[in-house]
Amino acid sequence: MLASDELPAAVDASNRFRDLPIPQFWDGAKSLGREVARSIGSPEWTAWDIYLFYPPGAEWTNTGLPAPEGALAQVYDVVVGTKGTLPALADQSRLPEKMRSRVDIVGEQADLEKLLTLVAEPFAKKYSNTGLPR
Amino acid sequence: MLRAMFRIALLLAGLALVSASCKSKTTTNGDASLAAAGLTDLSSSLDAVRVAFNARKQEARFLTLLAPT
Repeated sequence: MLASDELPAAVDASNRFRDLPIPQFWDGAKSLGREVARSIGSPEWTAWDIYLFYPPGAEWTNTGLPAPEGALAQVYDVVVGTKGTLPALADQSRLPEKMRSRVDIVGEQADLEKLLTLVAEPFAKKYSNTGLPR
Repeated sequence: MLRAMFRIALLLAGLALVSASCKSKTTTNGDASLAAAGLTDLSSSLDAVRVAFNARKQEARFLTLLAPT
């Protein structure tokens, strides 16, 4: 996170989604970032700039937030995905060795919107408004 | 990033979405700004986001955690 990641910036960002029915939160203590990181098997990390997709039935129990069906994150100047989220690029050399069993590099940060769409479109189609796979 | 998120939010309309922002250091007099922006502060507990996440348990959901810049 950058020094400019202050509350005014978050308020400004949240205003862009004001007209959408989206619960929005402020994770000033980074507690959610740590919980998200734990849920994807990276407890040493604090997650941010991460996008997580959960299937119907996923429940946040007393043991914590469940692992997502798929996830993308912006790290190491690339976009990584949890295994199976998107096809891995052939060149994984920018990914630290310790991460390679958990995530794959799936694209460049400049392609984030396209990559999110590649995950979100089939996800939305799969579950539709019913919550059940089609 | 925000432009991408807005597009994805629209794409996933009808599914449950939850978003959160994080920050790098403590701010002062943030409570009023948070309330005005409709942001729920998670600094003392994750219960609010947990409740929101579980409220639509039978649906697919999308959660994003973003640095706001």
